[in-house]
Amino acid sequence: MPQPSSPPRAAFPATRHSLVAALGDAHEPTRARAFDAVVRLYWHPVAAYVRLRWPAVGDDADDVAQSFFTAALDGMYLARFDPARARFRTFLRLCVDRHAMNYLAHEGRQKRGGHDTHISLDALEIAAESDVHGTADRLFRDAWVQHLFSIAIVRLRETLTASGRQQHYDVFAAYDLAPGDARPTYHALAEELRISPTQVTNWLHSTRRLLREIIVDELREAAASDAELRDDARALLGVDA
Amino acid sequence: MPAHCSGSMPDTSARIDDAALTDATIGHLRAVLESPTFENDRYELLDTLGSGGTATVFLARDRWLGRDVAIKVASASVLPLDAARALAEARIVGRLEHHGIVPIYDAGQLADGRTYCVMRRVRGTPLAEWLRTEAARDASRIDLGARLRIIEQLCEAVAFAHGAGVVHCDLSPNNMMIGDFGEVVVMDWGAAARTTGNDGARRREVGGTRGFSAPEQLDSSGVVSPRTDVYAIGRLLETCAELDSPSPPTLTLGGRPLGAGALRPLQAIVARATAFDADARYASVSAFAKDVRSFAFGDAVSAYQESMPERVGRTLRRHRVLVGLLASYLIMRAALLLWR
Repeated sequence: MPQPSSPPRAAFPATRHSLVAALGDAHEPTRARAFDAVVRLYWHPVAAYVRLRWPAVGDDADDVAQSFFTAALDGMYLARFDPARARFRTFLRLCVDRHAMNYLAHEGRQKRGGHDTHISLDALEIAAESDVHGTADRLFRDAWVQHLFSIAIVRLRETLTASGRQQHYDVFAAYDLAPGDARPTYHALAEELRISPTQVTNWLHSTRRLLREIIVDELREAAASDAELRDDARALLGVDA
Repeated sequence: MPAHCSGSMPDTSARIDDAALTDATIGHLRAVLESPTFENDRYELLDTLGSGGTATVFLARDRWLGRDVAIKVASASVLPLDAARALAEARIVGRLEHHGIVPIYDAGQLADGRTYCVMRRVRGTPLAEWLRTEAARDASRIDLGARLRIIEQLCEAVAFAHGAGVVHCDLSPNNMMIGDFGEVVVMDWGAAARTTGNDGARRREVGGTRGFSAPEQLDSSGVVSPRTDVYAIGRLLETCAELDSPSPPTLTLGGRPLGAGALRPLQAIVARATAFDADARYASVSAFAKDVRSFAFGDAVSAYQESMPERVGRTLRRHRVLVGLLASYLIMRAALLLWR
């Protein structure tokens, strides 16, 4: 299975919500880059979500994610997205649910000699569509938020390292990524890294600012509309993007 | 499609280990990323003083002037559509220079779009907490005089604002600070509305605090006016005097307990201030304060039509010393006459 590298960051930085718009672009390479970016942003959240939302899938969650994106690449699902009707994340989650449902139904048939299905499709459909309490949306959102921070932190590290500020990242990682009960004081951290407490303060400050910019950039790329971008930025960071 | 575009699992080196990114770590990151960043790093955030649905108040150090300040940063989720409007409101309140109104030092907009307001750091206790502390000290007896003085100081500050055409619109026990020496500072003017003369101002959204909001604030088409604040202050008086308590404590004024009869004028003041119909309330906070002051001094209040026996009783209580001296004099004179 080919392992794609991350798409170049310059692919869709210029305009807002370009990724989702580019999925329907007439220009094939643009469409392909957009799809790659969707994979980069959502492959892991989809797998994590399937694992939690569809326990019957068990260890096949990665396979479900893989087959989902393969199907999406073949033109299923994503081309039907209409930003006027739903936010992209919700649409994607519903597509994943339907895909997982089909996967389970297919698995059920296979286990029974490819004939009758003993897993009720109705029951699966109800499970897929019903999210009265927003649990499914929340599960998917949490998985997506974790992945978003994850890739943003990697970008942060790359950016700081490329600009010769590796130590800034070290301070950030030692303080902000430390478990709450193991988080050092500024003074302890300064002593450990042999810098001044003021440097710890200033570097943390500038690194967090950079991380915020990166996250907003990622949100901008992934959002299907200005409203979506604004909502996500406010909900995640309390800022206006 | 390019060969790499297969929907395969992306390169795992493009993300950090999930174990390093627990919910708690993400929660911490979100909290620090939400912290405001000020131009020129003028303000250094020291602590969070309070947080609500609409804003967070930080304790900060003004590096330029070397003093501690309080900075209120509007929550992005309720960011006004027109940030200029929010800043205009800050400018309005910034003009209110009164010792009972928290002064605004600076206001502006962060790079991320949120508005902020830098204020004096007011040291003291919110009225709500102050009342709880007092109740813990002695819940059966209340020094009404001290509480009436708080209400009077509040009225002074609010009347000043009304004079400048500003209605607070959110007076509540949480928005007033009581200093160590009993001084009162009115906080949180974020819901304030501008009025012109006696004209009301139409609210853009439902405001106020439950239990202290005037009926017109709960009506989206309602118009607020100084009488809106009169309503809230009436509720505050009722709360301070615990008139709505199921087991009312003994209220004392000047060290003497007040009977049920003596409290009727105070109840009438509250009733007039909190009338459903705004036109039935006191026309101004000053008129309300005058009645409160009259009650404190044992004079007649405009909100209560007393009967003749009540008037006599009140006059006797009001001039207790004089009546006592006069009575003593008459008794002595009578005794002298009898002795002769």
